[in-house]
Amino acid sequence: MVMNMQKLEIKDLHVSAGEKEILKGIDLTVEKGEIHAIMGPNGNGKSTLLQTIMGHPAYTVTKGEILLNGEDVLAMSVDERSRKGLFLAMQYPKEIAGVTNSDFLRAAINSRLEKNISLFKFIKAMEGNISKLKMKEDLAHRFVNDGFSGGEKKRNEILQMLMLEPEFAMLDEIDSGLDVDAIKLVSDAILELKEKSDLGLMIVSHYERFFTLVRPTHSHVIVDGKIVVEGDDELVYKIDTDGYDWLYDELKIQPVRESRPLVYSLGTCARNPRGKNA
Amino acid sequence: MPEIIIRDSQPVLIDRSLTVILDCEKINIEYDLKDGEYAILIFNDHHGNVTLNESGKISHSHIQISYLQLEKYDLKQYSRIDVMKDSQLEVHTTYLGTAKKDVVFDLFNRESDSSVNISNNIVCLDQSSFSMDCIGTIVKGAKRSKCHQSSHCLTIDDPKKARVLPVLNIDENDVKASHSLAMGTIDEEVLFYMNSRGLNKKESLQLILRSYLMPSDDFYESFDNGRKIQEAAVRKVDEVCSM
Repeated sequence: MVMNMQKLEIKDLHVSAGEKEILKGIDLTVEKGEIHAIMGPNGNGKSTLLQTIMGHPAYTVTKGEILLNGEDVLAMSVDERSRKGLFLAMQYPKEIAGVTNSDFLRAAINSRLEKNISLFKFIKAMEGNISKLKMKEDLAHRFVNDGFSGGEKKRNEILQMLMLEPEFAMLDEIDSGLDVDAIKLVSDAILELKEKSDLGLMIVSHYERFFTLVRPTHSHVIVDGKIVVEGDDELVYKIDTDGYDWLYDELKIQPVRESRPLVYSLGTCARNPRGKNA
Repeated sequence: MPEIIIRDSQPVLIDRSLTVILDCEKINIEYDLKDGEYAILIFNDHHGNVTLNESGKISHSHIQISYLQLEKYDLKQYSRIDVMKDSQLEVHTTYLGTAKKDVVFDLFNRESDSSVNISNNIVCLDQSSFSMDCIGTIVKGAKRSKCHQSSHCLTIDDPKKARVLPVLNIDENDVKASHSLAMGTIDEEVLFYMNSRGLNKKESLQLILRSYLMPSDDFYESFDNGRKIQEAAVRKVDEVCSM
């Protein structure tokens, strides 16, 4: 019998947003139990990679494939990808006013079960995870991310991950907005789930502090839509110490600079109290 | 709170708190409410098109009328209510815009110190047309009266299918009046977020529409058979999402 290794494979992935090509041939394989750090300067394709794997409609795959345990992910709808075991903890989680966390999570859990989860079992799991992440006890009855602080939203993403128990989780700057204690709580929860279910992880972060806690087994640096260097956790620490300039020099590459719309100021026509133009 | 089921077009007089179940094609309701506090829930449970005509007046009383119109059939509604001296009328409406729905509220502050407050929650689905004229009129002599309207309309897919027109006719100076209308579609990013947790479009819509349309649990508890009506309302919303 041939065992199908549980893995997420990305092969020669090219992705565009509108007319602009963002990813220009990404090759990456994540096996269960591995932790991959995805690093790189802002605006060079890290979040695009994670959002594309999850199926965000803003991105078009122009070439390449994504396979989950051998199955074609690109042929799946977003909800199907989730039910197959992919999870994306978002950089900017959306607010859903009017829908409580408990209704949302119960529906999400039931969507992947043949028989609905019992209320007792659900409440027990929810309360256990809320307590683990030291979140407010009334969280279950609050609307999803509505009125949450930045840190609460990030913890709520991890809470959802713990409840849904995916096979592969992608964490997009989950540590930004978290204080030192919360980063420790979140990383402990991630590692606990990894131990329990052999979770595979892709983690985008700019900070060595988080990677010191979760200790990646692999690391990749994306510049201008391509993985330009790979390594283990030593690479993370080198980048934290030296930045990216040594890479640009060594590989003779240039990163994409984040472009912002140019704003022209016409000054003000308002008059100051003396009646002259301000 | 007692419940009546209207099964024919004979005019029905409402002069007390009631849960009113609509279950026929043509319905005529007349209000005569005075000297007290009353709560009325109008729940459309008719499996077919409905024409609802309402008229009447309230005097020296505080009235709350709530409408749950969640059926997937055509609806034509005209409601005209006169609010007399020292009376307050609060109207809460919930419409699920499927098929063709034409609704007119014609609410009059007839005498001094009268108050009208109407809030509308509307969801308009694709392949439907929804039209509402919400008219508040403060007549001359109705001093110190108030008339406030607010409407929230959520359209699924095509925003052109909904028309909500707030109108204020004011013929007296010493009054307070306002109207507001918010109309929009579901944020694509919210749908992606929900999908990314395993919910398909139908399941996501069910959660959003239930939260948007359904009054709180407390609301139902104040009515006889409130729980039963709540369950029926949730079923209707879910059924429409499955269409």
